Amino acid sequence: MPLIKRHDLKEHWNTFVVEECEEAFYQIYEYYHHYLSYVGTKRGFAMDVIQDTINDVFLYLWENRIKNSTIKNQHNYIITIFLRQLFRGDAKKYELIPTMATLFENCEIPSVEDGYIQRYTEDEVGRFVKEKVAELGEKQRLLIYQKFYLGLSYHEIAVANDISINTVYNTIYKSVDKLRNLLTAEQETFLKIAIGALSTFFLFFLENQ
Amino acid sequence: MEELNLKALLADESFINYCKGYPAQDVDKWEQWLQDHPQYRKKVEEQRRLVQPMAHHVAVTTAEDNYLRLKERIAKKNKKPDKGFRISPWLKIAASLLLICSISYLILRQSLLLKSDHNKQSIVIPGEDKALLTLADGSTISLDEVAVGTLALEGGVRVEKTKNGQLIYSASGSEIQNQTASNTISTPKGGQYRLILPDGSKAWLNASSSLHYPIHFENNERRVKMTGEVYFEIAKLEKRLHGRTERIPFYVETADQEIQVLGTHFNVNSYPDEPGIVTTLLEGSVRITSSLNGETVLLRPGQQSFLDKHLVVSAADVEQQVAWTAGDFIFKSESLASILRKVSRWYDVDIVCPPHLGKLKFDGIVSRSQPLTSIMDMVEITGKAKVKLTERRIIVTD
Repeated sequence: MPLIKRHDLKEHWNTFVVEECEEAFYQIYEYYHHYLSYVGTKRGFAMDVIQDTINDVFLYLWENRIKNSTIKNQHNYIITIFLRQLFRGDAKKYELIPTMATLFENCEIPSVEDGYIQRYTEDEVGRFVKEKVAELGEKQRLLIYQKFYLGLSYHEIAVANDISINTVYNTIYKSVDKLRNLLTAEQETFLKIAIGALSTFFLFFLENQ
Repeated sequence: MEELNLKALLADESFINYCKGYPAQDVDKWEQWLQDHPQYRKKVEEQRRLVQPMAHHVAVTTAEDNYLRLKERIAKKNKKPDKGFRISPWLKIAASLLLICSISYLILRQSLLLKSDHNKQSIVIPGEDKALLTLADGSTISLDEVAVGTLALEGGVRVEKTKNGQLIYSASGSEIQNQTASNTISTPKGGQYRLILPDGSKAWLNASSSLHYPIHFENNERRVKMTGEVYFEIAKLEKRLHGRTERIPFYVETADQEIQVLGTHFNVNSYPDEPGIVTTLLEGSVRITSSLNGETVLLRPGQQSFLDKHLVVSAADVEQQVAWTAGDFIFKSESLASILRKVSRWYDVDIVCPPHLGKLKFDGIVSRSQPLTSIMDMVEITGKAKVKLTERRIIVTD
């Protein structure tokens, strides 16, 4: 299912609250998982902390859905409780945040059009990648998520993950390279099978001439 | 044909943008480059066809995996039985009596306020030595109102109030009748009290705290329960067992953790509106065990543990953590919200503070015996915020 847009949020929120619809809840969750990962990583937090905090926020939203059904600006509300929870135990990174509402107002995640994603994820290569991406290591998948999907800079990723910028380059390169080799091997195999099948066909055909 | 350096390409942010098809200027830039270097088009195209699906599928699985973790948490929460904390009848009585006293106090205060002149700003005095003591038989004594001297004789133990707001328990020599009797001492907002337990251990309660303890410690262990903030100086106690001398451990229980002490000085801060339980060790050694997941740590002097969901040990700023026992507030780069929580408990006032101001940091040392206006001035002098006091409410504005 494609990712929802920001202006769909209100409708999904109402469905989630009124009908306790898990699907609507998950769609809100998925959207904000990406958005809050972007926000949290940009502020230098590690992914495991961010993911735990996202779950803290959504656990709260789930448990208080009736109480919060009258919230006017759901977007700002979610961002506010996320940031409050994120900074709660980490006094060192505490900063003066001017006005939550103006933060990241203009950033859209993912930084790419839906149509584009559709075109490249549902073709043959896309299906192949879906399968093979599961074989990548956890760290590799995390960096790919942060670089290719969230669109964070190499420097921001290095800081948040507490690794050198070279490690980030290397890890990303290795993952792409691995997938490319697998794809080439797969295509070669396919080609070999195709040639083999074709040869058999011709032999059969020629024999029967 | 020169070999294409794919690694260098991937390290280029604009190239990755080209692979993603956005923004337009990066796409145009690389399209132009490929027109000038057509020999590389095949390899680049391979690259580009991989990046988008990689991004998409990794994103989907990352969100899904985390969502499953969330569902597990929700399921676990729904299954969790009630906490097995046995509430002793004395605690229930003490709690209900405290509630009745609080309500009566509030009603009394309301009626007094109605009578007073509304134009006059109410004078907010700092906390003082006051506490409520609940005896084994359920009767209560308001420690600040009662006179100095012996307050009770129960089960062979004498309870005495000494001059300086302190309670001392001592063996009175007569027959020990009720071994399981317990007392509870609790401080309201704006209160504090010191007591010396039957074994000679000292406990100092800060505002909004309580300590529940047996008046007669068993031979094998000494166990107390607390809420809020208490500073302990535990006396070393030994017993003879089969000709060997063994230390009798002292246990301090709070909502989520148990501290095992062998003879030592430490401070426990477990207010429910603080982010976690902070235990600071000055001398001796303690073992902290989290009752949430069984994690355990052994603290050395100068260390502290922080328990929220997990136990984390770090170096402590001992002077700052126990400043209250010396009669001071010490703030070191402390958030205004945290400062105001402490102020609320000691001066018994309500706080209204917007979150963005609550994050402002302040340094300072203020004596706890100073009136509330001293701390308000400390904040206002910096020019970062305005603090107003009306009735018993502090309002912070830009």
